[in-house]
Amino acid sequence: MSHAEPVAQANEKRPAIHLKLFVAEGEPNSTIAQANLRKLQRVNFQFDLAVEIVNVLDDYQAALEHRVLVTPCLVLHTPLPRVMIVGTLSDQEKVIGALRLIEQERLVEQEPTE
Amino acid sequence: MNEEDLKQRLGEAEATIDALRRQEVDAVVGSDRVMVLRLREAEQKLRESEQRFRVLVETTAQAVWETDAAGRVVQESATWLQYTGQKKGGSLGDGWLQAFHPDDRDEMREKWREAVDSQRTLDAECRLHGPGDTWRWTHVRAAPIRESADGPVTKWVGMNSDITRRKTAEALLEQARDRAESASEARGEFVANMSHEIRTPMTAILGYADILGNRLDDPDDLECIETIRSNGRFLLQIINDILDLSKIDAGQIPIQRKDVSVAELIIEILQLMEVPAKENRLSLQVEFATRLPETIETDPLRLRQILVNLLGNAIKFTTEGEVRLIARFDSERNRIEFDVVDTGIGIHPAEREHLFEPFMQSDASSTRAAGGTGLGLTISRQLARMLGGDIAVHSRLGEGSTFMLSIDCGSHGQLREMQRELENVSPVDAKTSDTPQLRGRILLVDDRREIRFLAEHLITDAGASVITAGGGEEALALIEEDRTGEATVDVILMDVQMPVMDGLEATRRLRQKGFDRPVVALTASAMQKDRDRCFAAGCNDFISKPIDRDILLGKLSHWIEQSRNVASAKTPSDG
Repeated sequence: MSHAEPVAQANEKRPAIHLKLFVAEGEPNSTIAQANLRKLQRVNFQFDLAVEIVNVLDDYQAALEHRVLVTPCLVLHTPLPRVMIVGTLSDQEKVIGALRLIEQERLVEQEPTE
Repeated sequence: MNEEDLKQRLGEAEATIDALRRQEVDAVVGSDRVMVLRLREAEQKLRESEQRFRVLVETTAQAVWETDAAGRVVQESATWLQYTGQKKGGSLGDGWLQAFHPDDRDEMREKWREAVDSQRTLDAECRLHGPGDTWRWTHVRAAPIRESADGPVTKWVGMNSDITRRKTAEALLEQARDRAESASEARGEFVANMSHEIRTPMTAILGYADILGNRLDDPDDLECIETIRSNGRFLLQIINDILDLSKIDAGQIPIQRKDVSVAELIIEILQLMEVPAKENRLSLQVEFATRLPETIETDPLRLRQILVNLLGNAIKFTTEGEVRLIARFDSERNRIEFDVVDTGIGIHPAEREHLFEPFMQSDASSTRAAGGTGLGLTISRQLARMLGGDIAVHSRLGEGSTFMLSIDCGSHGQLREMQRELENVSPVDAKTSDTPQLRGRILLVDDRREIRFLAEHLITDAGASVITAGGGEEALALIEEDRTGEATVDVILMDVQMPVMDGLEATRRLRQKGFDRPVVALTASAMQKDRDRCFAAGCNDFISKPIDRDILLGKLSHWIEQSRNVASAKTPSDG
């Protein structure tokens, strides 16, 4: 992302990285995981993330569909290959690494130039 | 499923297990439902409760220890060793019992065995060895620990808390109570002795005043005699009141309930109080607010004492107007109530609170004019309470007072219209000062010449003949002599306290020798136990000093008659 480009343009861009965070709403570990993910988004705002929070207490079918067995669980489903991170997402570096965010960003930035 | 896919799934399973191990998981998604795990929360709570427990134990207990299920120490407690000073290894097995005081050890062993056998909590207080050679009081608590609520006991956990300070305080308190009790006993004895010491000379003072009064004609002289007599009686009243109060304090006033006719009681009291009422130019009225029981179950002597005191006060503190006695029956509480209403000086509100305390009179300035010991109300209230009731007071300064006595009726008789009852009871003649006529022979035994003289004077005045003896031995000799001769002694009037052979010993010997005539004891002691001793020695009756002329002659008249009956029946008893 070039600093010369207006922010509005960046926002209009279709998010390339789709994440689903499966939580048990109100339970302590799920709450911590949500907070950690928000913090990751805030600190690393250059990553273009579309995050969907799924409360398994309301919708356990969605969890089954994504082969999620426990909460909290973060699933990267687009782009493939799929990545699953289980736990409170406390180690930010590890999360960024596991989600291949830096790689993904590079790929996304290259796309329009192709 | 290709190899890539399989690898991915294995990786995900690994991550899941890893998260579970790190306790970062809070729900498990099953095939048909979600299960929330609260491991961390439960663990947190457990940790908190453990911390709370530890804080509690550490602040209240000086030693915490554990035993196996059989009550034997397997692993020694550091706090126990430190607290008791036992050597390492010393508390193992049953060794910990050695830390208890030798006098408490067996009891402790017994209690512990009982607790272990019954699997119930142990709770005991005993002395435990402390640093050096000191002993400390400790509170031991031990409870069985079970695998599950109704599972077998797996071990015992116990703790000791130091209660030395509390025990010391308790011991001090007990000492203080003992001291107070013995002080109170000593006071009771002192009062009894003092009353004796004052009653004896008072007999002489009042008696001789009587005699002198009969010999003098000059009005001024007679007034002097009257002053001596009234002051003597007043002094005696104080002694009697103090004695009563000390008896109440010592719980020595027995309450003797029996069926009492309400009408007779009221008439008797009215007759008694009419004289002082007339002297004060007051009218004495009786009213019945409700129907009253024919009889009530109470102690007539004490009820009379209270009413006489209340009416006496009302008359004393009322200079004009009237004194009313209002009686009613409260069926709900089964109480009879007497209101004593006067139109007297009234009682200041501030003084009302202290009215029932010893030595209080409403107004210090009025005390001297009215006279009295200030103990009457205290005694009356105590007696009223002993009769299952109380006394209350309403008063308005300058307008008069109402004292309300209520007492329990026990099992009472039928309710009656009292006014009619009163009319049916024939009026008893007012006490006459006429000398009752005695016919008989009295042996008077007293070591004090003036008492002999006084009693002889009173008795011979009433018409009986008197022989006197100065002591027990002389009395025995006289009776012996008398039995051989013609003349017979009808009644012996026997002083109790005499040197050489006292009255009780003399009476005992007389009874042993078969003397069957009445013996009336004469003593200044007024305590119940002294009376009991008289009766135990074989006396038939009891007259307390100072000698009251009417009582003396009344009793002698009664016993002379009894004596004559014995003589005519000719059935001598061993007494």
